[in-house]
Amino acid sequence: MMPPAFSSTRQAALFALLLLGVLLSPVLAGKNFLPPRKEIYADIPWRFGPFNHIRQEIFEENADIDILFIGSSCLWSAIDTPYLQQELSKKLGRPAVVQTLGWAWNGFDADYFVAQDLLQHRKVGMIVFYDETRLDDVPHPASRYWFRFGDDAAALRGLPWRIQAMYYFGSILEMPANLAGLLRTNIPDEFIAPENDHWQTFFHSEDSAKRMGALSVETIHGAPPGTPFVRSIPVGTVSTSDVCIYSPETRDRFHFARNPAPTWQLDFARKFAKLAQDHGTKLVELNLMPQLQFPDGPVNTGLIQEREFWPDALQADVAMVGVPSAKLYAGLTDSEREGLFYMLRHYNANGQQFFTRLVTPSLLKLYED
Amino acid sequence: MKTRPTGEHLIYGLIVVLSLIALALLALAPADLVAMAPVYKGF
Repeated sequence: MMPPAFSSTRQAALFALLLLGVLLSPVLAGKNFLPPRKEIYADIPWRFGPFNHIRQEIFEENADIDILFIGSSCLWSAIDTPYLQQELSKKLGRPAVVQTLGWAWNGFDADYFVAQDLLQHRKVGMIVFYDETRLDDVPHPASRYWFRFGDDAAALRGLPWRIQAMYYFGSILEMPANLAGLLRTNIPDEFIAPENDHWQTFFHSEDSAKRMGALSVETIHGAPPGTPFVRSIPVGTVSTSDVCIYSPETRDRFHFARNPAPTWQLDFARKFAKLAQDHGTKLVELNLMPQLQFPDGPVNTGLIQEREFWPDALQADVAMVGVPSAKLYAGLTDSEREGLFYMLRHYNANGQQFFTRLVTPSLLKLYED
Repeated sequence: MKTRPTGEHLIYGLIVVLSLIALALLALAPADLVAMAPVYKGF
């Protein structure tokens, strides 16, 4: 005969209480039993991105930011932030503050939570983001770190119950780390293992912290491992005048697919936009390689392909800027074009320079307007 | 036959319900959310 699971009713009751305590821990901890949010960022493993650098930018730096690029790897790798900073400094006649806060995996929920922390500590003149929509309908893999039920339960209001359950579960998973954070300070893993050379062996880039947050990957999509990376920017026929800022006069150069994001993603995108507007921050949506984003859409088109008309979708004043794919790579051979990427939709260091030089004048114009 | 008191039934019922809730949350959660450090396959 199998022995009973519990030797007494009292033991069973204690086990039930323990289960109840674990499941309710995010509610019971509330706001009072959570460490400062700074601790969250020190706890995020490096595989998610340069979160120790992001932590320093949010909580330790305090200068106003002129232009901020925020978002996941497509944007993290697309912008040569030091170049843009140099150009803006020339324009302003003072050292400009330009920063990229970028990470792995997409999702508007990430934009919202990180922007919320940043805007509570620093003033930002203009935020540039891109279409972060994730179609697999799950929260960002790092959401369990930056979503804490005690801080942000209200952010879940109105979301589908399935998504709410995932966030809540993430809160439970991270509760032991949060409680430990009350007792001692988290040490970022790059300090625990300083010999960890993930920038060279994993990201194939200089440390983002040394490049104002940008990721400059020195590999080429499809090239065999070990292929030396040669820095060069191909010259096509595209020019800065091909970059287009949306206005009633230029509306014919855009095509809006009306291929809506999942509603809960849009909900976070709206929260993100509202946050920016409440802080008096200008918002710019930068169109990134749309021809690869919509497999059913026209591939090589003279129109700038957008999923949404963002000012309507976000119910906010959002500028949109982009360049049609037919013009972007015009005059380049297939191998020159492919040499700009380290993976689908992601520019490598050469692609980053190619693209940044092209869009910088329009971004600076939007900043000054 | 000895019958269990109602309190004991309630406790065991609660354990079953809470365990099912915990399992449901685990089943719903995507693997990347549960993993300590999921590998980003892009690099």
